[in-house]
Amino acid sequence: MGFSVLSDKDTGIILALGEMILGYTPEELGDEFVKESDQFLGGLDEFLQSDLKRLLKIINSPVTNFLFTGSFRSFVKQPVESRRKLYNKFVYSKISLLRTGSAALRALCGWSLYSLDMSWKELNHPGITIGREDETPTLLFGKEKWREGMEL
Amino acid sequence: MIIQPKDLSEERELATEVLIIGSGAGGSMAAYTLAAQGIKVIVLEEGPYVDKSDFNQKENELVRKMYRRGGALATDDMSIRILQGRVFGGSTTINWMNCFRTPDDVLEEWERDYGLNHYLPENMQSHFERIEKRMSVHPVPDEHHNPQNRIILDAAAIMGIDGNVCNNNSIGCIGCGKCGLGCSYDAKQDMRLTYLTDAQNDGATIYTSMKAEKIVRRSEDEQIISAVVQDGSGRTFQFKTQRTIVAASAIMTPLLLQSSGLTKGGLVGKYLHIHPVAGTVGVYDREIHPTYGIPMSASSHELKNITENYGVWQEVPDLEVFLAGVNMPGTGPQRREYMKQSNNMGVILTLNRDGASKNSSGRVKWIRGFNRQSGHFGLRKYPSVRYRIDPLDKKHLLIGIRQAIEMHFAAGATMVLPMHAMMNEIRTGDDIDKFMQLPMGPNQLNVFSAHPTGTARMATSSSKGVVDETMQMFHYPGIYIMDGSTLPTAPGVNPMISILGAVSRALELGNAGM
Repeated sequence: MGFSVLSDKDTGIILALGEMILGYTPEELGDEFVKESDQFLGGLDEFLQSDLKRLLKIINSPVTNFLFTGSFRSFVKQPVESRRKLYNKFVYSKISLLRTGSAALRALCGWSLYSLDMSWKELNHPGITIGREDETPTLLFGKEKWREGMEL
Repeated sequence: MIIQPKDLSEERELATEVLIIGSGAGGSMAAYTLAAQGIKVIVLEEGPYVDKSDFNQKENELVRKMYRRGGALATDDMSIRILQGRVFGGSTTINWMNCFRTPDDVLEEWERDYGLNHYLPENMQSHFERIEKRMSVHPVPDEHHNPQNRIILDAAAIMGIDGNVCNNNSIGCIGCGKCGLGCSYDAKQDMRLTYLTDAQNDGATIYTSMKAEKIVRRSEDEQIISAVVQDGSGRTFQFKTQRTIVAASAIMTPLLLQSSGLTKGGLVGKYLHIHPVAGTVGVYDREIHPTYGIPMSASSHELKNITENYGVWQEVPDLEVFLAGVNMPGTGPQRREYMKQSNNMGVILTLNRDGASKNSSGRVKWIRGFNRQSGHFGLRKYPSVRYRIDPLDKKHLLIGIRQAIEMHFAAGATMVLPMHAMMNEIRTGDDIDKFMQLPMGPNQLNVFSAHPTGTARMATSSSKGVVDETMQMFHYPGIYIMDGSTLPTAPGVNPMISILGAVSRALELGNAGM
């Protein structure tokens, strides 16, 4: 699948990050997740987009992994637990810039899955209310009274 | 009249009496007030036109469409995300409807520290009353609080602390809980449905998807504004005007002024305040459904005055799923499990009135070169938003977070997620003490904001402010700033009514020189 911002290699990194941060397998995340990541990046200012693409390259670099964990393997080729170990080095770092990187990756993954309605079923989130007002919890919170003509 | 990119004519040079940049609260009040006097008004809005039919409640589509940077606006170090509208009606289209007046003690502080004696409570009351009437502001009825807001009310009653019912601007709200995505039911009385409608009825023309890029000030009575159509075509327009009102927000207004070289005095972009917000999540053994119901219908102001009118207050969000997904702590299966429990979660937001030490390290500025906070290096200029929470403000925030945790337990939570990178769960009093000892630096404690203010503040002296009491720029007569950037301090409440009230008063005082 061709994307506007992400390369094929980036796609693998995004899925590996998604698996480690969100706890979903790449198969569960699927193309929709990658497509949303691509669209999210595409909507950013050019300078931010390039920073985030660079961050993906840095996190996947065997040199980065070697510096932080002593293992010379790229991010995508590591088992999930090893990826988490590297990511947590960023999260818990005293160096603010590394924590910035971890926050950016978490935001990218969190957005790319949970802004999609495909993720909502597992959360038991009843979804949009338009046309389904009678089925959703809005009724519990006042609609019946409103319908009876209560003045707000 | 609304003019979208598809409606644009070939004529690229247009003239008006007043040109307003931005259609949020400040710009809308200015458009309404001036158009009602028969003055020719044009409004430029960078974001797209939207109406009820666009609000399909799909988070990925609508956040990308209506939020600045697609919802990704943040400080340089990504430690504080700033939610801001970039859409017809500005942030009022996507806000959570909370309608507090500027507190009297804040207005008195403006008079004491900035000389703003025309903004004392007795001067502002009639403005607030008119605004509240036009926007159908009313207290949320008791039976309309959702379970999340009841956490605040129940906990306040149990703990013997302050707990209040809030006002909001709605007519016939059904509590769908999607305010942040635009109101699908036209219940929220935002600018689109109130002051922008009134302004159009009085002849104002509103260009949407039209971004002002530069202001050239030829004289007090003549400015030329260059604007670019936001449809990818690159089409540019020029607007000749007698008066310019910049109302593009506390983030975008200083950037536009700096791009235009309108920075004499050296204060444009400084003194950014943001009301830093920390969310504290309670996990309950009952369904809370935080994504449904009227948001911010209850609040607690128990801690509003920790240090001389500075402190925190607490409210409840409209929890879009993406907000939970972005902010949830932990990684992997544990994080997924937390998300699965999200229907049983309730969030208390602790909002900090920042600026207690009378300082702000925050600023908005175009920079180039290496940015040590973001790691970006660029030869071309790029916008930079920097903000560090001041130690005294941080102390207040932490006092508030502790209270929020205690409120959750008082309301029956079995566990609290403090939203800190180094601690996922709090279950006991000992855990609270351990949490309070953690480092609270950038990207450790999870903080966000939706209330940037102060970057072109109002004062009676150019040594303290960018605009005078009529909101005219001290150094550039003919150019006015009328948005949240003019508020001289953080207002200590959700700022929509404060911005509307201040702009209404400034127009009463100076009528933008018309």
